[in-house]
Amino acid sequence: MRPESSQTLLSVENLNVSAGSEELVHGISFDIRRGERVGLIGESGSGKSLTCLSIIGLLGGGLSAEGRIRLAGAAPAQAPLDGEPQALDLLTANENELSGIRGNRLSMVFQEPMTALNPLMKVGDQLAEVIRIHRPQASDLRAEVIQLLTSVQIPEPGPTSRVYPHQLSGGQRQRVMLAMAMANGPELLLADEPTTALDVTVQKRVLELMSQQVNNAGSSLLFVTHDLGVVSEVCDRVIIMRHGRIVESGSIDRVFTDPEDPYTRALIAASGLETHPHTGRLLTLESAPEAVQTRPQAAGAHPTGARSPAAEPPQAEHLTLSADESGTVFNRVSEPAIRVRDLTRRYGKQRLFGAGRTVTALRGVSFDVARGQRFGIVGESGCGKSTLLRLLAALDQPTSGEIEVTGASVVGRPERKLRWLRETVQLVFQDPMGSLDPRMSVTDIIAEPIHRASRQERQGRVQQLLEQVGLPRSAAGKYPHEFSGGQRQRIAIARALATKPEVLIADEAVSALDVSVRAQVLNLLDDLVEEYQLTLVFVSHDLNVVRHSCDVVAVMNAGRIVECGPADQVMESPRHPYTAELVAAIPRVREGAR
Amino acid sequence: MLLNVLRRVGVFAVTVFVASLVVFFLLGVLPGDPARAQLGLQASEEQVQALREQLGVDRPLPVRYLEWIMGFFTGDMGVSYATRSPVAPQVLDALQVTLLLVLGGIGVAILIALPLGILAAVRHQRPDGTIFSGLSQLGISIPNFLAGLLLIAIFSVALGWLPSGGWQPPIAGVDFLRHIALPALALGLVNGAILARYTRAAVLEVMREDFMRTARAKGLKPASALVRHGLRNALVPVLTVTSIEFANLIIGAVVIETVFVVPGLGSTLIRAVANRDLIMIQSIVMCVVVLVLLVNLLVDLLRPVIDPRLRMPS
Repeated sequence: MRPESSQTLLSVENLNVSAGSEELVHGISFDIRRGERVGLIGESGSGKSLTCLSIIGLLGGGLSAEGRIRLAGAAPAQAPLDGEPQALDLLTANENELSGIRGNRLSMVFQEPMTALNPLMKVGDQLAEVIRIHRPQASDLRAEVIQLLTSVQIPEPGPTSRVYPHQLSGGQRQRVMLAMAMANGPELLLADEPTTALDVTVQKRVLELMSQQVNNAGSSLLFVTHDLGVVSEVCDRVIIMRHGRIVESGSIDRVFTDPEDPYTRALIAASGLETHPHTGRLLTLESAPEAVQTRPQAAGAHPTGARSPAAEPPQAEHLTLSADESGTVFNRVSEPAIRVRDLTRRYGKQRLFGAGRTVTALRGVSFDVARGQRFGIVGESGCGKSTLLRLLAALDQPTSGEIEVTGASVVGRPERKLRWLRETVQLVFQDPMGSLDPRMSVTDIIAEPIHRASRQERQGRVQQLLEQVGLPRSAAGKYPHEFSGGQRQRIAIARALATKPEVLIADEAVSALDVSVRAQVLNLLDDLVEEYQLTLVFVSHDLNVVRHSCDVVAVMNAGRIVECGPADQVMESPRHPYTAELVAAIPRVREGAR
Repeated sequence: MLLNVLRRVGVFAVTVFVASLVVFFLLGVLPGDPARAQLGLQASEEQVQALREQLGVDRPLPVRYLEWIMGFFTGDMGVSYATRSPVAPQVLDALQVTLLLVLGGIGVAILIALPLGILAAVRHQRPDGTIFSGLSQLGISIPNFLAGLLLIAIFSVALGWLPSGGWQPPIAGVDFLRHIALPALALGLVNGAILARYTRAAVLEVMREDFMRTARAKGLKPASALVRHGLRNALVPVLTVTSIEFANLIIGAVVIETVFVVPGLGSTLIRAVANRDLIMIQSIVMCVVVLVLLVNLLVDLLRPVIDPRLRMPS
């Protein structure tokens, strides 16, 4: 067992965080004991990150914190020789006291490993710096750096200490951040969404490593996240926040098995992609509380329950990549909506000087998508799924291979001969803010692709589309920044449907959304796919979402499809080792919760 | 790495070559016969023709180009149409003066820009930060010849501390410094103000970076975080702007040299234009072009030294 004691390390009392006159966190209080691992869970805007930053005193400009955050006196081993260890209020401490504590007694790992390290400084130097700041007398810095890198399982720690951050992968950088945070054996490690930017398999390893490090150092952990599954892997106790207040807290087993607050219940249901026992639709914040009374179905048990059997396409064949790694045509059907054969895309070309560097993003991919089918593509970053989408939408040209959409080739055609494709195929992107022009009104955004229509027809169509995606008519005159993330994604979907497309490509369309909003948008997509008889190509890194939303799933790795078949079969009995690894890496809400 | 350097140097050489073509042929097709310009309207056609042969301007353009460009890079820039004396010594003397002036100007600009820009960024939401920003805004809006005249009015006429014009070579020591002070200041003030705005923007941007927050989370105080992690990151864009400013400074020097009666490239160029001394103009313009390209090359080579992300994997 971990050395957990009843001694309180950190005590947050009545913490308020405000931006100017607007209060964002409303008087929250909680304690963290020595050696305890606490998960702080909430959706965007819940105030979880602000709480975390208040503790370490790094709130951004314009934000101010009030209340008390008491950090207990240093542990006996580290206490100064003279006198009793003194508790310190972190909110009133001066900069000198705080900088003595940061990186030493309190340390932090941030969300974005790509930008959290100084790009101009060698990794080893950045690690050495944190040691030198707090232990100027430390003798053999170099050995200590190597040892730190070894402890976070960086292969070849020696050479790695001499490279710059951009030469490392995302997972490696987050390990370096972890090593940096653990360098001085902190009493409390703060982690703000530390694995959200990582692939699932990498996330799993980083989480294990973090648990192990915190264990060895006897540190407490405050783990901030929106992901209930991730929390289950590392924490003992959870605090659920919403709109700047704590709605529930308790031991993780209790909260996840027997949540008291309706919001917690709904959050758990939405995270697990639970469906309504009668309608088969995903539970949302609104529908969850009543539905949870009667035991809900877990995700995937009846993923297509709501749909009529007539709409069911023929069962797909479950195939894995053949031994010679080529030639397999996945999901073969007659008269497919999308037909892809031997698709290859290489980036970069042979240069005159020096060795030409080419990257092969796709290596001979072949598959079909039947009309009306919901085809999921899953894979980690760099597997080629984005390249594949760009090619399907003819936004890029393949190096070799063939793509047919509704029976016509899209390869090698000039843009003026692709007008039909622009109407037939539409895309919904991941970032609902970045993909909408901030200077165009919602009407203009949605109506832009509608040609040959009078002003009145266009407006009528916009109104109809807004209604279909569940937005009020008044939305038409507003601008994107006036909407929340979920609403913006609805606008993006309305825009995609404006041309009445036959194929809808959703590229990580719900990945940037909160779980409760995610359920709503997925339900909406479900409805629209049926209403418009769409062929859906749904790309995601999240296997659970794909399992819920798709009939057939293709798993991609290193530019190839390694396995493809009915979504449930692939998830439950993966045949390819990579799929198995992927499925095993999905963080799960603790078994006790079921 | 070495390959990268070679590639940049290659691009530099090609650019210089193309620039020399442009300079030569553009000036070559300009109307105005240098021989006629020398002898005046009264001279007979035979006299003019004789001078044309003597100057060599009767030969075809490509031949003259080759002769000129070979000479240019071997230190023989030909003979002035106006004075019949070799061009090279005059141009090189003037070049030396202008270089000193421009370097002084850059020095002044950097001395102004870095502290002002950094302070304006660090204190950007406070009154003093706004004052620093306002100062640089004011500096941008003053043309440099006006700054020169103001400086003369204050330091030469009213206070009588410094000479209002003229030039002394560096060997003259203190006298050299007294003569270069005002023109360099006039040149550097305006460009310093522009550079200060870029510095402010670069530092502000760096202060918002995640790694600056990491630096604070490690236990660095705000000032040390800025010095150890911020400034070097801000230096990359500032350096790029400085190299662009360099071309500006040379142009500015032409005006400033006239204001302060400094015998640099600017005044030599103006005299050459007045005399239709085509070969002199060509050589001066080419010198300026090579100088600007050389500075850009240096900065291009320097940037990867500062930012490892710009280094090509070898």
